[in-house]
Amino acid sequence: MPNGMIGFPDEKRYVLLEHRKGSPFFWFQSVDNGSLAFVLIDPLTFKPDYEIEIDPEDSAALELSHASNGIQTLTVVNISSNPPAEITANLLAPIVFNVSRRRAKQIALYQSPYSWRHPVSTCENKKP
Amino acid sequence: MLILTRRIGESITIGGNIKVYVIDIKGRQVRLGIDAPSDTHVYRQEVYEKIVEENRLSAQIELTSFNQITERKE
Repeated sequence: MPNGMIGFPDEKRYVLLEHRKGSPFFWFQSVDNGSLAFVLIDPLTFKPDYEIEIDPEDSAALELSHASNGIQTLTVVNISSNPPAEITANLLAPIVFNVSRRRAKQIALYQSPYSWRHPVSTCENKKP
Repeated sequence: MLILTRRIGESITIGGNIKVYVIDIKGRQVRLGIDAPSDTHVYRQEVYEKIVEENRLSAQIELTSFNQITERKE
């Protein structure tokens, strides 16, 4: 992740850990800073029609031109501070992974109808 | 802060490899064109701040409390 997460430019190397076997959630754990980890989720598990457009510069940074398969997109998870705790995902700044090249980049979507805090619906928390 | 006056069609250069053009001015809105190297990220300020805030909050989620929430729902 050459640019790091947006706002966290110093941490560039991460591992992706399953929250629990079969869980749709992941911990995106910094290798260089043990106390830094983000919670991520595959948006397709709760929004099957989620689509993004990757601009040519981001595509080049991810070396995507040769990898039409092996692309994974995950989104940043948050928990609303007001009870009852609701899980949300930021659909406007997904992290795109080129799995085979082991590269990732968080990209900002501008022309997009999605929400910063899209509710992760509880009945679809499990992967199919 | 450096404050400059520019007209439509004029530009400024930052650090030798970033150029900012004033493309159009309509009322209270300015259209800017930005030429920057691909590794220089340009964000609208309010969008950038929102992404950083969402990332920062996600990084504060603790495993134990997240376990409680997901266990309740799964």
